[in-house]
Amino acid sequence: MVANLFHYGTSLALITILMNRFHTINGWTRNDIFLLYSFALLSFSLFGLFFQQLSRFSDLVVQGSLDRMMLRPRAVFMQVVLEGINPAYLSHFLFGLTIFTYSVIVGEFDFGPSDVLLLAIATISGAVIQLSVALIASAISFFTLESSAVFFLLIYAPRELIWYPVSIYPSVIQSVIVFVVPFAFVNYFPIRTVLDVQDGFDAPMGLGWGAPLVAAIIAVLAAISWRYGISRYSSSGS
Amino acid sequence: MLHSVIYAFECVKYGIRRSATFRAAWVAAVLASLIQLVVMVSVWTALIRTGTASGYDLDDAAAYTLFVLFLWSANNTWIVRDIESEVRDGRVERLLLRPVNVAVTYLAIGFGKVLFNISVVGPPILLLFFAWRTVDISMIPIDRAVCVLMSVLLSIIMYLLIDLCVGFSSFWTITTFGIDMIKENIIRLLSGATVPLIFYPEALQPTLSLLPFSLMFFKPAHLFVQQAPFSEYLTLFALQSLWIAVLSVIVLAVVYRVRQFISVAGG
Repeated sequence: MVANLFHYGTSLALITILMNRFHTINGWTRNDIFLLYSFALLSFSLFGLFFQQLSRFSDLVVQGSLDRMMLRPRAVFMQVVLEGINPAYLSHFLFGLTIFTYSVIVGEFDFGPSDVLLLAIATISGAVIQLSVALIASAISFFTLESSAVFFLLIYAPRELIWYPVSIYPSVIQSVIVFVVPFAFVNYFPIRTVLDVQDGFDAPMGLGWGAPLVAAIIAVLAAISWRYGISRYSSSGS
Repeated sequence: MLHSVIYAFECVKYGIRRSATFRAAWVAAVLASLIQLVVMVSVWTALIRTGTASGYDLDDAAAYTLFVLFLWSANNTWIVRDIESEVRDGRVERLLLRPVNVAVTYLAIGFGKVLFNISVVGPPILLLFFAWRTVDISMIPIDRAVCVLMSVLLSIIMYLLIDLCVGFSSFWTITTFGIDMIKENIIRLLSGATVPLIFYPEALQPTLSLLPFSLMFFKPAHLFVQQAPFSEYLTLFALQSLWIAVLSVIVLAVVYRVRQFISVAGG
């Protein structure tokens, strides 16, 4: 837990060093970037609290533990989730909330009721988007046994991309994190909507409100992938 | 002496083979490097669009990023976790029973892993160097190319020795996940592995120059980008060698202490 918080602290320190030197990045100030970073951390910690064990799902398949779960009269997904709830992520959430609150106070952001509502909805939507992508990555284990590289590619790698505004990336990367692995809806679009940052990204300013819809669509896709994987699962023979 | 060299060579080969076995891990490592590259180059492009900073233009920043990324990827050996795992399940006792130097064994295995990493991540990064033309590496004189390679080699040895110190701490702590993560972040913050140290506040510069971390990433990358003269490389080699000596003494002391309190039942 201490090491993880140290990791976040280091990332924030590096962002601070850069932003103190250059002041803005595509129209985003230091406090805006802090808000972006901490907001991503909030939904990530919600995801981590309940679903982080999906990152080790391929181990369950390889070691044959999934066979044991499938024999029980309960949904496999619920068993996987309930076996790995990790309260340590509450500290990540608190850390994210602290940085978020600090940014709001220092940046003197004046959020109205609709902004607060959007941020609350977007936090949950962000966690659902990450869960859905994680489920799709995990479902691959049903066919390939090993899916850690895919999991890394779909979950951890895009996470680093959304620490900074999506508008700074080449259009190919922007398309990937908007349409393929829609992590732009985890923090970028909601924060851009509430802060009204003009950063040259060619998308409606109110797109942050689309986060729940995107979360719902990808959740349906994830459920279909998961069910399909379960229906085609054959034991690894471990 | 010959036996020791052959043994170390075998350990290097073992390290290469072991890294090559985990294909998913090295695919992930290549992807991680490329994504980190996209993030950093995009950040620098956005930041420097308004002009240069501390003598760095976009080409310099891109060359610096490619250089440190190459070093970071090369050093991604997971040797700390290997040591921890062998300590935890007791496999390390086989090594302690043999008449070999434990530190040299892991150092050589780690070096094998570094060579494997370089073979995987090196070609794409070299291609990007050529494609970007930030620094035309085909035009670098041979003496300076040797200096760059030497600084990279010494930097890698420093990183491996720090990894050994952390790895051997598992004899006391059993798990090294937290310590290893803290080590990585200290290096990330204080070595210039993400942001060149010239962008750090003036007040921090004296402290940063006293620590070994800047010799592992910032100095070699900065000298490469600035096309520094031979004399500056000599200073760098001297400092890197000094820290390698210090770190070696620490590693050997830790191994000596381990041998003092561990008793392995032979036979």
